[in-house]
Amino acid sequence: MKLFIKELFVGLLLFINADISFAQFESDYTPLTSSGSLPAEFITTAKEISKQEISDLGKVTDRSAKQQFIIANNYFLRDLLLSGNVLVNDPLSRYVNKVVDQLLKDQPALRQQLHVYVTRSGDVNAYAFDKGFIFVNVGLLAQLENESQLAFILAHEITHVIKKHSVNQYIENIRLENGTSSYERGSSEERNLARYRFSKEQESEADMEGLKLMKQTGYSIKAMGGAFDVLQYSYLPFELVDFRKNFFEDEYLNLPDTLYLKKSSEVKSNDDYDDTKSSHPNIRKRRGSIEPELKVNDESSRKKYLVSETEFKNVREMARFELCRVYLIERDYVNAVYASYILSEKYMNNLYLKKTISKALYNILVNKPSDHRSFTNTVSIGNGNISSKQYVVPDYMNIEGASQKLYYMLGNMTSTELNTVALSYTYKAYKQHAGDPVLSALTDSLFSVLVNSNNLFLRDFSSKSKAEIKKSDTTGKAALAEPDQEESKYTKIKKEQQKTEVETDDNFTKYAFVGLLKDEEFVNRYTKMARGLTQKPLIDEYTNSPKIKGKKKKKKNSVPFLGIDKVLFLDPFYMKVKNDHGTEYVKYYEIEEHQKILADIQKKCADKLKLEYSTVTTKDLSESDIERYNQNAVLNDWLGERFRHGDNNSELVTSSEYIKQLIKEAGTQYVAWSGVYDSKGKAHHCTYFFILMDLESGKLMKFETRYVRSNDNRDLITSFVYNSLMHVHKKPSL
Amino acid sequence: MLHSANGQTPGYMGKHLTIGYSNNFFPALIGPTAKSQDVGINATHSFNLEYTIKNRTNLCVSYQRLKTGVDFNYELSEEYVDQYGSYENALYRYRPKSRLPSQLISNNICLGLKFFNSGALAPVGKYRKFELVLLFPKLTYESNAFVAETYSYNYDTTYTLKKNIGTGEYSFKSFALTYTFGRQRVLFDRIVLDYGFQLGVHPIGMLSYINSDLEFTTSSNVGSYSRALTNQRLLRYESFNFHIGLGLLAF
Repeated sequence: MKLFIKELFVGLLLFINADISFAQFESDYTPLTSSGSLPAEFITTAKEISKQEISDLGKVTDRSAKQQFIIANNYFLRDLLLSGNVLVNDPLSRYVNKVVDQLLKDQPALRQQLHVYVTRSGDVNAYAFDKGFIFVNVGLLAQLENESQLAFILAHEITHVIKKHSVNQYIENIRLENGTSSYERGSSEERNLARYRFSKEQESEADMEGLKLMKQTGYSIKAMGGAFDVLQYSYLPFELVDFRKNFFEDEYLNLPDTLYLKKSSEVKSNDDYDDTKSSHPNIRKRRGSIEPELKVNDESSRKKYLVSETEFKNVREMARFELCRVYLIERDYVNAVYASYILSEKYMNNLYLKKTISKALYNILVNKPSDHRSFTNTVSIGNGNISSKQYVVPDYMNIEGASQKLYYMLGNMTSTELNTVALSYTYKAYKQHAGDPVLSALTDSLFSVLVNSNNLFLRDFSSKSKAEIKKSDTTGKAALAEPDQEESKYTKIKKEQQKTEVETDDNFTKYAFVGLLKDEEFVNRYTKMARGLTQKPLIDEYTNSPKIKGKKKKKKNSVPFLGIDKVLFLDPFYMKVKNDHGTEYVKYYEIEEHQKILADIQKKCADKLKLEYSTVTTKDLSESDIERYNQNAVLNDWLGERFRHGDNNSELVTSSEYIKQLIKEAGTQYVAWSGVYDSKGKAHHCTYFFILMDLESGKLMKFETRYVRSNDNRDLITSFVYNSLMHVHKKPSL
Repeated sequence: MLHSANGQTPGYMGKHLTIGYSNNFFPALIGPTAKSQDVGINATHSFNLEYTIKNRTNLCVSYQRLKTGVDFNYELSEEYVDQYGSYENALYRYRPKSRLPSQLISNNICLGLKFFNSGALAPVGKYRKFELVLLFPKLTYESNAFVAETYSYNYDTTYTLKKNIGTGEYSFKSFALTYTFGRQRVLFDRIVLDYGFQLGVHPIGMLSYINSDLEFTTSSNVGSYSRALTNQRLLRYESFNFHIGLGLLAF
């Protein structure tokens, strides 16, 4: 009997655990990638689709506006699909599609028209295109409480598709501009308000029609009501868990209370905010308008989950894990730490979460003004520079809820303090997951900042704990009691200072490494860094190196040759714009053609220079090219994140660890990206850029821009591309 | 210098040297053309070598040849003794058998620098060219074709006076400075198309105008007269020109 109870208890415990945590996340997490074969919409060009759709339009009212809409919509959609942010055949998309299947069980024709994808974005949002494309963000999936809420949001988006809201909005906007709208024909402000009102009407319609669709299914109507709470509190993290400072503490590293808010502020979200200039009605209005419709007689027979509760929770957990990475990529570092912290409560040994926290702390640290030196995130290489906005921890006063404590702590820590905490956390994680190269590299980078930026060396840290020092102080006093020993004035001063230090919490950094200093590897790595043996001081990358007296500055070649043998070409960027009396029109059709021309020019110039190359392109994808699609996604992530950082350290880039395989496959670590922006107004303006990055080190090898008052003739672009590639390939003169 | 410059500059897909022909032309609004006294087109043929020495700079060397007409009319006057022994002034007009104006042929050597606009890379794009033109003009005319007509005191008799004036050929040396703004394109990665407009200054021709060198000229100073005439013609010739050329990217 006892055994039975014990087994029952263990079984129950396992059951509960299965509900709240998943074994697959215990040790690590691999970010989502696409799989299977690519759907047709990824393969066809926007021009082909647009031409077909325009010919299908026939004779309709507002034909010209609809034509414009089709072209703009298709190009935007294609850019989105090929951005790498859209997931194909991944567990999240598969699950969301299953929910759509449930919603449209009785409408197979409509179901066939719909293409539903999950996008890697932190925004709590979903959106639809009239053509039947619905995108659900990872940020939304992470916040949902149940499947019914997801079903309602999808039903809302399906209504947008059925009612063709996007095209109607587009046409209405044109009418408003032309003064032919049935809405106000007034000033620009009045037209804008009319635009918002029209949009709000569409949103209300989508809510009501979405609810109708929900009622036709077996989903719980009561449970879906919480969807508005999800939207109202979307600015908050996916869970509110009190942040405890002991998360970063150990036996010796004790954070002072001054860094810890005793109480975090209440959540004050107002659902009746002013929505005059909003595309959506405020939450109270939305909730109020559908509330009377929420009553159904068969609620008891309805379910929160029609697909699967376990699958929903698994998908939500994946979305939350994915969100940690998205936060990092989007430079929302404190949220990255907080989201990882929440998940760490469940998955204490998860390597992915530890890496996310370490990376986020490191990023916050390098953006914090140093206690000894200040620096800016601007890099000048070649004939250009890239600068990014420096990250500053948002003011904790603007943060609501439990995460406020973390904002307060990270915002108030000095560079030295944060450096100490980050190093302690990262090194311990590294020791726990021995051999992890990312944590190892981060440890070195943190050592580097400690030495080069914060000027802290081994001697600045105590190898004895406060307790040990107090103890030795007592012993000293006892020794002094012996009459023969005399203490000098200076020894007394030093002892007094030490005593004050020990008794105060302010200098917690001094005693932070007491435990770690007993670790031989820690001491060795620190010593090596202090001697400048491990890596080049990080700070040199973005500060002007001090002038050395007596040494003449060597004349620098303004545009250095790099001597690189092979590069990886990305799809070039091309934008052609016509400026007509202040209104800009994008020449969509020409863009795709010119992108191809620029790609051909690149290849031709590389051939001429005998520069080897491989390409990662999404322009000629076939169904089986999922690998190439994923490579492009990884590269896009890496580049996007790298540009947001704007400095030369690969450890700052979250995606660095996923790019190693790509480097191996491409046979080069150098990725080249070029582009042209051509605008025609009263005169032609053409801007060309070329960027070369080292994927391994994260270093910006070359950044070149050229601007000419001329159109984008092929010969002009060829001369630019050849020049860029010549500097890439040519060996530097010694 | 060119060798090291070649290493640093891209040229057009590695090609730095352009061999080409261009033509400067403008309606001959003031002076005659080589073949007619009427308005026509004055043209200068130019054979060019251009070498890209810097990202935005081409060194230009060219040989030019121009041929045009110069009008000797009205200008050459001289005193003579009529049949009554009195002194008169005769205005000798140039009446050649060929019925062509006197011929001015100039073989020029030009040295110049072409600066491409900011952002562009030689040899593609908009440019400004500054050139020193060394002019080696040669004026040829029929020396025995100068005719003056005089009349008897009662205008019933016409006397035709013929005179050999000068040697029939005068050569000079001169120079001009030109400024061209134009645009160059490369077609099919090989052919260079160059077009623009040229403004020129011929300082000696300007001085000749200012000093009114053509007035009160006599047969004894026909050499200086021819020089002045040539310089003034060249001034008009070099002042404004359209410019179009084709070239080949050699290496």
